[in-house]
Amino acid sequence: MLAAPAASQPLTIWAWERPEDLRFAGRDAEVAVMTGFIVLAGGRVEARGRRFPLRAAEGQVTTAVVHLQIDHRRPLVWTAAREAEAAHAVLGFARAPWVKRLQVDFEVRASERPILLGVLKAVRAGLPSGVELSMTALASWCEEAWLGQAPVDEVAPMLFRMGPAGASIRNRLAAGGDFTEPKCRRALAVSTDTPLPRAPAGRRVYLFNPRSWSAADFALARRRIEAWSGE
Amino acid sequence: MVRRVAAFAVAMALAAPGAALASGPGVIGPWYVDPFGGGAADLQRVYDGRLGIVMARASKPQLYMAWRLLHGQRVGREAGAALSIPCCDASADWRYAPEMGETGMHAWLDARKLVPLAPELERIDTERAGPDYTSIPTCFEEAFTTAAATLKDRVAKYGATSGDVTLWLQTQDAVFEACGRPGVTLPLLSAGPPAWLKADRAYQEAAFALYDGRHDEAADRFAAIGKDKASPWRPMGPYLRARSLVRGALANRTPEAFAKARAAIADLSKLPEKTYGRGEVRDMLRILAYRDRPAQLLAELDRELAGREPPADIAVAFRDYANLADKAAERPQPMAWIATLRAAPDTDALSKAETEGGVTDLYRRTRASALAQAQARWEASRDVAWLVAALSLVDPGAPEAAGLAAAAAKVGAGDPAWLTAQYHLTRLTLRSAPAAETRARLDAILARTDLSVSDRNILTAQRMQVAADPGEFARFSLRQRLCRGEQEDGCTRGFWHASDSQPYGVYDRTGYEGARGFGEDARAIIDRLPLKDRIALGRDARLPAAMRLDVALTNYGRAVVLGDHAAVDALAADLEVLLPQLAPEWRKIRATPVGLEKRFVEFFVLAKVPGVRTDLVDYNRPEGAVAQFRDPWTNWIVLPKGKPVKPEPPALALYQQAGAGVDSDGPDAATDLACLGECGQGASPLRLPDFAAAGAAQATIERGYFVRPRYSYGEEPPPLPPGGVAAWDEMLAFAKANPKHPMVPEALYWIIRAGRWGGSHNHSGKRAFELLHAAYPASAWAKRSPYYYD
Repeated sequence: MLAAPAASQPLTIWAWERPEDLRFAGRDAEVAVMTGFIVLAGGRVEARGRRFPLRAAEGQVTTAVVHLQIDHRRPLVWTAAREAEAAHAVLGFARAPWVKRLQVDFEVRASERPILLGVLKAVRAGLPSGVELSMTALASWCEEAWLGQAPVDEVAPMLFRMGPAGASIRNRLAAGGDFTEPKCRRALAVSTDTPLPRAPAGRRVYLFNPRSWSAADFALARRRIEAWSGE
Repeated sequence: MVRRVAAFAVAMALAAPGAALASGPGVIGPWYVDPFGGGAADLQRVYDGRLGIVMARASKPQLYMAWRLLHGQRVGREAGAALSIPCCDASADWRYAPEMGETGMHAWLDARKLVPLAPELERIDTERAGPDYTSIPTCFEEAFTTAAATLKDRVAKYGATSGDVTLWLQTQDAVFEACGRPGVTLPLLSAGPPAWLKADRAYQEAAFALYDGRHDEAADRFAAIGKDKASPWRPMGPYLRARSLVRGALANRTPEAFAKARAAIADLSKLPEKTYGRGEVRDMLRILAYRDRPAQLLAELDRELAGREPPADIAVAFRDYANLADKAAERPQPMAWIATLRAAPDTDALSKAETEGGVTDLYRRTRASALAQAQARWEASRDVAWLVAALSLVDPGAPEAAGLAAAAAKVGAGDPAWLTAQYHLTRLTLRSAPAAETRARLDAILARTDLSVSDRNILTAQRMQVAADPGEFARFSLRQRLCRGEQEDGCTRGFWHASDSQPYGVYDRTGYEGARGFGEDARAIIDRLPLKDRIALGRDARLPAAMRLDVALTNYGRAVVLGDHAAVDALAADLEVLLPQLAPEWRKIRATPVGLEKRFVEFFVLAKVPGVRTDLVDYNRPEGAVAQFRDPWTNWIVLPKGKPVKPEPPALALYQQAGAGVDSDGPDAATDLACLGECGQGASPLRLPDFAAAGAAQATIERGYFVRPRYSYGEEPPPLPPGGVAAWDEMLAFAKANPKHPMVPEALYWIIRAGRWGGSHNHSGKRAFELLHAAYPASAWAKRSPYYYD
């Protein structure tokens, strides 16, 4: 028998780096706002905050998202001091009192996984109590054992533009299958331009939109997700 | 003189950031087609003027590079590198000036260590919280660099343990603390300070006012410093006064504030040319104009960017140009060209269509309109850039296609548009032109040594589709991997949120060792071949062993469901070499005569190797030890001979999932498995090579026996087709009837696993669990299966 769907999916709208007005969603969805961008370049940690405004209802914004990336055009000089500095910068973008969850969006190559794990551990150590730690992940990471070492409360596998493995992962989810890594079974991420016919129910769903959100976009995305469980 | 980096820093604070860097979470893009230009060597060729295939999905700055090259304007290494990454983050500033060594905040943090009493700092926040979840950049690299140099000087002159130096440092720490938050106060200045400390303090207080948002006060303080003949900071006064007022204008946005800032800039411009910051006059005026005189600035940038040589700050200029053009009543030509290539519907119209229906129609109308515009401009101007735009938008067989293909054929080999024209010419005529003619033309192009990896892969895909025989098909079925991390650096796709990470189970070797793999079009064609041709391909020594394994294992799945035991035995022999982890099973299959037991051992492999399928599109290669083989299983259904289902090959859109512009349920005719949608919206329908087309009838007959189960949550699985048998059911029946067969306990274990991971059939996992624990409770397989999942 196939897994039974839960009654509802908590929705979280991603407010990426563009002007957004999400007041239309009201209490129907939380908002995860991109607050910081960090580039690890050579031996430096370059950080900047959000430039475009987000308008949201009071209490709607719960999650600070911090994006990190490595500049691969020069050798990374990675030391304990740089790790501490990167963690400091991440935490600096999640200091506001409204932050209930900090989500780290850091895509790394296989050889760079220790860097990701190190930053997550340092962030976790400095995280105020009561703030959850979340991370995004390529869907394929959720099939690999190393991800279990990530000291996070939640992993959000991104179920869009998944590459050649995409058809297989979609089929697995549609067939009632699930991700190997247990931390990947608490949340998932979908995009408005890549509708997913079915996915496990009862998880936090992060909604990505390749353009600025509108009420219509949100309504459509919500209808699609509700259809997963026939609500 | 103010260094170049300062100009970038100021510009960054004022104009909108590059949105592309932040366009979304990293996602996996194609591994052999790169709209961002590929590795360093390929990018360098473009910078040098050798334009490859123009890809509509490239970033705006890279499309602008193409526009320049199409119009005889130079790009060059420096401008090319600047346009190949998003403009203009702080890290990018540093990249442009690597010769500067340690600068900015790190230089300051290092310099502080010279003072023994300096408290430890990991990092300084350089931005303040703004409204609506924004951050406002306050302090830039140059401020830290200047402070570091000053501290070193003061330590050298007055000693690291001097009380005055310690006070200086405490004050400067407070000044920098104000970068990140309001409410900071400066320590009190000691009574009777030495002249140097007094002068430095005046400068620190002015900077403090600037970071604290008291712009007029900062301007007044810097003006006073500019008049203080005793201050070492005097030369910087006029520039910093102007800069304070520019910041004030941007913060206040009143005509008076803009006028005041312009007056200060005018004062600065009247000073001798070597005055500190005098060279920044133009940039500061532009920063103001961006906000209050956008049309004027757009026209100015249009003139500047039209020159043959690239301006020194081309990335910033283009970023502002593109942003202003988006808001202008009429886009300048380069931006109109980029918008036409992209042919994206208006956001409001798209939202409306998504709510009310008609999304497909809206996209169709938008593309048709863009095509009409491009064609009209091409016909009116004979500007080859517009031909490129029109070509990228047209489908083969469309009324405009023949004329545009003819125009593409006339583009000369020395024209920068030549390769793009050749690509589209082939795309538009692939099905209609004689295959031999297309082969000859593509062979001549592929013989060139100056093709980028990405372009070679795209053209190889086209060549494969006109392969004269299976041998040619095998030769052209492989694509070269690009941007594979440690092995090849210099790719810029990671800066645009296309993923640097790449899929597994695709290449000829594992991880970053992998260099080649099947093209998506190759996979689609292989899935459309009859078993006989597939078996021959799986033995072709031109293919790497990993690719032969992929073909052989999917052949095995087909042979089993077709009940072709001879083919199964032949494939088992091949697979004993290709998948030695299952060598005993392959030998057992060959040794077992046709009958129920043979079916059982054939199914056993399907239970033990979860990724086997009948098609490459959803197959997962087994890698490593058996326990590491990737999920999921499928529910294998075997049909009786003479009772096929309706043949349904996998939709071509499923093969294009790593590319762009296709829905997973889109029609085959709209797909593009050569460039994966990255080259433009014009379709590139798959052409079966003639040998494959000859086998299509047999492939269709076989396809009728491949059942692709469809599932949905909360619903019972669809009934089996008439006469159909589930492999797991038959295995369970065999297990009950042959309890002493040595493979049964392990078979039950694998059926439990399959039930857990997607391949359940009618509670097969639960039934296998009950049988395993009832009949073989002491077996290792029972101990490894403490639970079932139903």
